[in-house]
Amino acid sequence: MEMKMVECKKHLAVVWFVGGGVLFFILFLQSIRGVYGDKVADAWGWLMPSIMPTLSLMIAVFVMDALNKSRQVQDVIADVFLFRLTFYLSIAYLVVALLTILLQPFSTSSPSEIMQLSHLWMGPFQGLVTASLGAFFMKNK
Amino acid sequence: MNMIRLIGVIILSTWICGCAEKAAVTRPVGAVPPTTKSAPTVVSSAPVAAQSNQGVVFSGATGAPIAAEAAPVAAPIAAKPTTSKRVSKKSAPPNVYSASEQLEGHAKSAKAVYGDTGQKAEADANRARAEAKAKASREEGIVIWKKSARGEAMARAPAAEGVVAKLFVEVPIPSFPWPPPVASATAIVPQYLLLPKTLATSTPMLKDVDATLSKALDLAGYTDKSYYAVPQGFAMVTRLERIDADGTPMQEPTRWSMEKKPLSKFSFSTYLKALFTAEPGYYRVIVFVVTPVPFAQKDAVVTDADARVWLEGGLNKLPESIGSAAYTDGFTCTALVYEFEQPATQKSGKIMMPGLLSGKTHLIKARIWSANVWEH
Repeated sequence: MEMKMVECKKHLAVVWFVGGGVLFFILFLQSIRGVYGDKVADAWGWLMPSIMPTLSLMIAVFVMDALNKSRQVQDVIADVFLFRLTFYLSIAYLVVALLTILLQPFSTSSPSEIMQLSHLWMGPFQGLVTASLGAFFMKNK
Repeated sequence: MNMIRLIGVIILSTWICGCAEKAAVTRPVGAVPPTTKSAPTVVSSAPVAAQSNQGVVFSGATGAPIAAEAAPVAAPIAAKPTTSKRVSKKSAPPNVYSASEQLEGHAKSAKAVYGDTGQKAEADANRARAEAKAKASREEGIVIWKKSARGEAMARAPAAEGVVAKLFVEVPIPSFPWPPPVASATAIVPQYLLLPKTLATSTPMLKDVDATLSKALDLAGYTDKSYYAVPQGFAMVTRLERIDADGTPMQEPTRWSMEKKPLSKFSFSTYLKALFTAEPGYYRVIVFVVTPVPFAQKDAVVTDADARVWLEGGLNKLPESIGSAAYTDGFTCTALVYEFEQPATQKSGKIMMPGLLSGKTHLIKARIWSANVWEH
């Protein structure tokens, strides 16, 4: 089974922008409702480094693809295994990030404490996702 | 016939004399032989403690009281008169003689002076003098015992008071900050609620008020409390408890927990509410101040940490020195309610000034005001 690089990029972009958008929207509502009190900056300081580097990378790639409309670029075949690995890792990462926010009501810790604590599992996970994304975008058939 | 009677009289008198001598030997108290003038003059009726403590047998008037003062607890035993039979030879010093030794010595000396057969009357006179001396010694011993008993009693009474006083000295009563820091709400507990009807006619004491308050608090679930001294009265501090915004205490164990309350029952609406709203935690400490002294609350900020320290720093019961004071009409029981608000994002709360509720509402919601104990 072969997949074009452009289609794979679109799939990954959908995952990341939808997931990032949901996270952004929840955090926005919580900030408006004062859930984080005077620690709202800490909350946004947790979200931005988690998703923005990947989103920025994707935007940059899409801009480059838009500027380079040669037929050669459009026909590049992607590594399916690498795409699937990156795709599922991205989904898993965004789900974990989402659960970090959605499970706050069930914890005895404050939301900001949970976010600080989540660096323990989010950090390594983010490293894996970033590495797979970089490898996918750099490796073309 | 006369000869037989004479022989019979002689035998009888000889037997009587023998019996009398035997009785004198077994008598517990003895007299000093005339030849042993260096020995103590009286060896009897001496307190055991005096013997054991000082090693010699004294019958002086000061012996027993000294023993009683030196060891007031042992004084009842020490002051009890004893016979010389209980004196151990091992414990007696060389210049002290037991009663049997003295009587034996007396008999020997009588023999030496008067011979075995002659001067019996003189020996009897000596024995009579010794017995008289022994009797006097016994009487003296009783007097000593009585004196020592009185002395012991006299020494013991102030000692007991001293122990009580010492206890109160050694366990100082912590004082509540005075004047009290300004509270979120205040309520005056009516005097008729503080005392049972049974005590209305008698002279009530502060411990009666404490009993009523404690019972009302127990019924409302406040089992932890501590006592402080305030001018002419006392202050009772309850444990910091978590409450709802309307003043109702939360169910245990959340009631006494300072941790954030997690979502226990799941429903979509409660979940969304918990996710998108920041419900602060409300906490409360109630301080009952019972004193006739009027006071204005001091403008000082109390933190929830201070309130926790209040519970830990007080006494577990009302001291007798305060509780035995009379409760008069001039006393007032003031309930100071310190209410704290803890934001969801913070671990500590700050006092609400003024509080959301009145002091009486707090007491009613806490089920203290409505406790059955008030109904008597």
